[in-house]
Amino acid sequence: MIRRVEAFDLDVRRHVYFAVVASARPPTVAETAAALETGEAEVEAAYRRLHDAHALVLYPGTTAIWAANPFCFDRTPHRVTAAGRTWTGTCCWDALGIPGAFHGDGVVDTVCACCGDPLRLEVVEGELARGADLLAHFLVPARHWWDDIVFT
Amino acid sequence: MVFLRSEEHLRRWLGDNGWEAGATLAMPALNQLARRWWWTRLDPGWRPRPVDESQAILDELGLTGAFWELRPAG
Repeated sequence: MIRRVEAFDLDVRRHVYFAVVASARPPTVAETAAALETGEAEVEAAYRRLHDAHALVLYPGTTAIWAANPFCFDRTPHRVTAAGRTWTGTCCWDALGIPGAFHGDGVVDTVCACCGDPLRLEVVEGELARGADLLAHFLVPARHWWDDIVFT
Repeated sequence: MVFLRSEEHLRRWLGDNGWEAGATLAMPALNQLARRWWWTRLDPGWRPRPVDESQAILDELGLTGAFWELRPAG
């Protein structure tokens, strides 16, 4: 069930993405509270509402941010170079979404899920300059993507 | 949602894990989807996208049918 988010939550979310773009890591509750000059309890509640609304993904049982899609802050096989930094993509869709989110070019260094062999894709002016012959596979039907987003 | 080198690697990956096939996209199609889906994610005025708008993106890219249906059944 996707929950509604409040205006304050959108301010919190805006700060989270601002911080991610600036530092390539997600802000803690304390950092966001300090930046917005508000209380940590309010920010914790906002992080949880944003998680419930699928606007952030928290580590289970915590208020630490696992992903602010398309960016992931844990280990995955998908390294993305875009906008002058190296990022981690949550999955194949998000990996290619990072250059898209920056409206720019990018390089995805990843692996074949079958054999682990390294794969490289390059996006130039919105098109695949390398990797166009590769495949993407979605195991989980769309309406179940958020049932277990880490598996998805 | 994973990258695979080829159809042969896809079949082997599904078989090794005992999984049924879901949906396979050619990489240019995934790239189009990724750009459309995430294009506004860093906009300062971003708001949650209604499910009908997300469904419309899938529809416009030809991703239709039960597998791509975001709305709950029924």
